[in-house]
Amino acid sequence: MSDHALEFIQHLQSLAQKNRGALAALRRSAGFAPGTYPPAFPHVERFVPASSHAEDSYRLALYVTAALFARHPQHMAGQSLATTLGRLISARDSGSIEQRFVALLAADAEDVPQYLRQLVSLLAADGHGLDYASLLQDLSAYLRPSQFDGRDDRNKVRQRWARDFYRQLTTQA
Amino acid sequence: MKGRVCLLDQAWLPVRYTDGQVREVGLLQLFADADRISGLAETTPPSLIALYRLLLAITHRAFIRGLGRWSISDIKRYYREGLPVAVLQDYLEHWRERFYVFHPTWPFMQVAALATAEETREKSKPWTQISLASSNGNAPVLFDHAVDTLATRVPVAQLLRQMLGFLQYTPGGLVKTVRDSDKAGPLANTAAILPLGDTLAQTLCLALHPASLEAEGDLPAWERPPPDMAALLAAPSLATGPNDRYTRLSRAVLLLPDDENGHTVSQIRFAAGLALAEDEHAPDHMASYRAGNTGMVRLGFSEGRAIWRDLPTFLPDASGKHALPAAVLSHASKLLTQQGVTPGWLAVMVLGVASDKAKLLRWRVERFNLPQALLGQEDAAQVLRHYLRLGEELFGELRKTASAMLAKAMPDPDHKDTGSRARTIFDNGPAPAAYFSSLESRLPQLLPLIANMQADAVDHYWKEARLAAAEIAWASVCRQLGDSARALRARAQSEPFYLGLLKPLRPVTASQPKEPSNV
Repeated sequence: MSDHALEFIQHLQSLAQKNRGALAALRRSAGFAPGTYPPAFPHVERFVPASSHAEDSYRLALYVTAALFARHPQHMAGQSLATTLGRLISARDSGSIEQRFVALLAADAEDVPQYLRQLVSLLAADGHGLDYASLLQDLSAYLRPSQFDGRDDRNKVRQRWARDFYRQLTTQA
Repeated sequence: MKGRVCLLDQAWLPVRYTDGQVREVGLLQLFADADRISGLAETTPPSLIALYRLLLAITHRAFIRGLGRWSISDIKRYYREGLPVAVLQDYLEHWRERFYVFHPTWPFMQVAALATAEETREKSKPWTQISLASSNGNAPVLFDHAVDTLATRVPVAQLLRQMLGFLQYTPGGLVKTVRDSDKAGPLANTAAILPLGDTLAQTLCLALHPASLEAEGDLPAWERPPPDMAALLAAPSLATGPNDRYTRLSRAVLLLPDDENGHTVSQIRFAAGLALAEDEHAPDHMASYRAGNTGMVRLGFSEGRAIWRDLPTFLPDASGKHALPAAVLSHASKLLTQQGVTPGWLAVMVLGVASDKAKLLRWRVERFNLPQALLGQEDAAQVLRHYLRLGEELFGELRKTASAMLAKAMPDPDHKDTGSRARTIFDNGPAPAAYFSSLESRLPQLLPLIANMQADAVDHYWKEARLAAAEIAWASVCRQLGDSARALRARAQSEPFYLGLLKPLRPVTASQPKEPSNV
């Protein structure tokens, strides 16, 4: 886990405790394309590396993570999103969560924030926390355009999510 | 005797000299130069093995004529010092009359009676009828897309070689002349094995069948009376011995020369031949048998299966339950042991044609080296059999797991047909080839380890080889699966089973990799 990501999550956690207005602005930013809602800038932009351009995947991931955190401010280190969802599905005994998860795996980069928002809302409803720092890193890989450098980081992330999710299901079954 | 095409003098056998030069020679020249020839240079597998069998029959008969009976120490000497050329040439000269291609009474390896018989007198067929590589009649195309209604002219030397291959490998079935159908040739559907020496002379010594008591009566086709129509109509007969099998006229053919010189042929007469009845107690010297569901079955080529997977079939098996190796290998092994050469490698060539009824499916030549130690030690052969079986078993499990994964990625995974469709997709995909080619590349190191009885090293080595092969195969199935969400789900669900399969193969000390290496 990079220190930078942890620092960012700590910053969000302190906002959640001290600055509820900031949290509201971040929550509101989810209705816009990542990184385009000016009231969110003061809370996120300071963490964007100086060399980044506007569409840099890390910058976008910071905004998406901040918006998700604002919706469900419960960071729990070591609990990846997919594992937590796997736990939720067995707790709720509901098949629709798996469908939503599969839809997330099949999603394009621009739709991912939308699907994540729904899933995080589900987690919030049942009070399951998740590791936002690892989500930030996954998103930064997921949102990186892969067709240029041929690294296919997106696929690796999707595979890891699928593995975490279904292993959680198998261990509980 | 149009053009007096005599195979003793006429250049018709392509050979490769030890200096690399390839040219065509006649039979006399071939035996005279046998020490300087590294092997036959024929390129089509059926003709290649048929030519070797022809040379073996000639050598065998020449030795019987010139030496009477002979012992292994004679062959040992010939192996070391070269063939007794005078004996061979004397034999060929004695039967010179029978080696003319267009002889009125004894055309070489043909049936002269077809020229006068009522059934064939008026009929001729294009030469492609006796060429396994050509499209003819209803036979599906193997390589050639030519139409056979307008037959081209073909040089007689080339056609003769094709005819010899055809006589050995003709699949059984429809003939419609003289008889409706006929038995298959002696090597049909067989992967024939031939031990190879450094020179043609050595190869002939290694593969020569011993002189037995019955050998006197075992005559090749040219020493027999010319078959008449009654012989063609007769019931199938058992082979009198290897010489008969090596030169059996399994179809009756008569080449029709295009002109007086007889250099080319475009039409032939064709009919059923001297049908061969198979006797399970007298197997072909070059055929190996392996255990099948109902008794022993002849080893042939099938699907994409490489012949090394049946390697133990060539090795001695005391129990007689698993394999019946080709007799020619035990002759070779005996000769080399007697020779007192330090244990080394024996090069062998496995070649043949696979057919389904009358359809030719594929032909193939494979060449590999066997440690001599394995040919002599039954327990070593047993060990090899065990390790190859482990390889097959892992593949079986991998196939099951991978097919289940493919099924999960398909619409309606629970439908009863989905499973079999998934297995077909797996079988036709790249994974089986990836798995077995990876294992095959490890074989040259495995064989000496087994031959030297290094039990721990073998075990460790083969575990590693299987692990690597399984990883390559799994990665290729995953690539085949794609990266749709459904595929990712299937993959995530099946991965634990796959990792479970590999667990016993991983070294105990190494920790599990965090990310499976198939990404």
